[in-house]
Amino acid sequence: MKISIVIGLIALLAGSAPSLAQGTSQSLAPGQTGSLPANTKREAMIIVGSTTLAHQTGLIADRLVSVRGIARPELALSGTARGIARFCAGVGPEYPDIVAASRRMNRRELQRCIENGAVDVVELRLGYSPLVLAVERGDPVFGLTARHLYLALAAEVPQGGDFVPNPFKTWKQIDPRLPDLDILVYGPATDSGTRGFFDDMVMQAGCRGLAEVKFIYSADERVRQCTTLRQDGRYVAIAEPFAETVMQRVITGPYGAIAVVPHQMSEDYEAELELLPFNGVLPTQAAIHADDYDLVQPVLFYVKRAHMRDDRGEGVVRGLREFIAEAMSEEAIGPNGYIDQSGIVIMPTRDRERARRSAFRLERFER
Amino acid sequence: MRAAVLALALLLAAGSARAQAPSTSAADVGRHPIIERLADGWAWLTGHAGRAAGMVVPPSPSASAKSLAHADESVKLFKMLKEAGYKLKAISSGVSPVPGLQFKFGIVQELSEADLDHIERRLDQDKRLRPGLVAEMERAIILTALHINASELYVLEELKLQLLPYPKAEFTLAPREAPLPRNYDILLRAIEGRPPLSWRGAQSHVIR
Repeated sequence: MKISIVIGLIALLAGSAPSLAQGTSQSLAPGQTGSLPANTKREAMIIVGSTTLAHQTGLIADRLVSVRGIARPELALSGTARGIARFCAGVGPEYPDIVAASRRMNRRELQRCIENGAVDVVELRLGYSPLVLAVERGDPVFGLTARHLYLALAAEVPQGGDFVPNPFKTWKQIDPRLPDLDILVYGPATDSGTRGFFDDMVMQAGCRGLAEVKFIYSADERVRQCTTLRQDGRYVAIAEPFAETVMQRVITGPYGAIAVVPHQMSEDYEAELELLPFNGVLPTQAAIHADDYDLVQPVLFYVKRAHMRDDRGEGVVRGLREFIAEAMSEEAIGPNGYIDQSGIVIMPTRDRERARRSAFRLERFER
Repeated sequence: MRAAVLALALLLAAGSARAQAPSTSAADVGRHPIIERLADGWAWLTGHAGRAAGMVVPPSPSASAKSLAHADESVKLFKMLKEAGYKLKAISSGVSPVPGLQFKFGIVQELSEADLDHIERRLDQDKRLRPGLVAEMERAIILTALHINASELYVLEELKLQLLPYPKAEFTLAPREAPLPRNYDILLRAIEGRPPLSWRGAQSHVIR
């Protein structure tokens, strides 16, 4: 099959071409909530997803109860990946209504949602939660790159055209400019959304472009090769809820141990920790807004539009519209709002307005 | 056909221009005016065309190959295509009054979700850094490739970018589950140490 497109035509269409980054947004008609029978109702919303966002989710739930008179949502947070899997498992009162996510829902997950009837998912973007690398205050501070971390933590590393079991024991062996310290990193286990983000933004980024990796055609095989971590104790995977444990371990752990944690958690331990630059940049608000700091996770909620109760009282649960209004309010995500004060880096005004507009229109999330 | 009409029109126009000047050559005496006009026109056209050729005719294939040997490292579009899993596999250059220059890219790597996110981010950054029509066109080509590959049914197997005689992008799609040629099966079975299937005289294709 061949398609010929004159570039001029592409240019004309470019303005209207759907962006993969944002997806083709589509406004939905009110009341278009799927084909659920009227008796499929539940009293309280069910929220699943990221434990890292437990505090923020709790704050929104409190406000829903106290300000908007909505039944207290049931929080069943067990990690982003599991949360999305449950959220996308189907439509009906037994399935969750909202998922808190510390990364974007990927195309496969969205596809599963659609296959299971949850076609109309609305994405709420509240701000950013940078992932940071930190050491105990007093330990050597040195900048790391994605390549350094990949070479330090992968189970196998490329050498002479093939992959060999990771031989590196100290940072200096990877790069002579790095200190002669044992490699020891505490970070999230595979049940965490943060680990998925770490795999994508650190491990895959670190191995992208290496000659041996370029030879692997299959994406699945390449991802497996790049994200399989060593099992000899130099990467210590902590299960959910991992952040608090990681902090404790790095503070009480050996000299030079590195923690991989969400920024909001590191703020609670400001006196004990020191942040490391990643790819030469420290995670300041200015660097995050300028898109200079690479390890920035979005703070997101996905809402199942098919569960919304409409004006006739039909639909799974009441409160989804109120949840959207509350989560996207200036009191929440504006400067000095309660989300801002919870350690999340808020978006610049223009981005906040855009996110709010998209949420209020109930635009369908597409990738 | 259109080229022939154009050439004839040029010849006649050039001939009429030359006809203004008096003819002085003794050898020209007695020639039919139309023949004379055509001959003059041809001489005018070939003379000018020869000089103009250097300006409009693309470099020879070998010159193109030489200058573009490292193009995928320096040209922004080629770099972006490389990140999107495509690599330059051929350059076609045609030498004629209507010159042609075409680059052919083939898929060398499937993209993971993280790769797609990475490229989308790079395109966003590029949009801020490189405004303008050409950059927008380049991004549109990359996005089109990504969109096609995001489909479950097809994969963009080959991308042709034509610069001359006019810019054009040509996308060749292949079904993701395309039937494999019989040779693939024979090779696979040979690698796995299994005997080839006896099918339509496969005996003659046994790899020993």
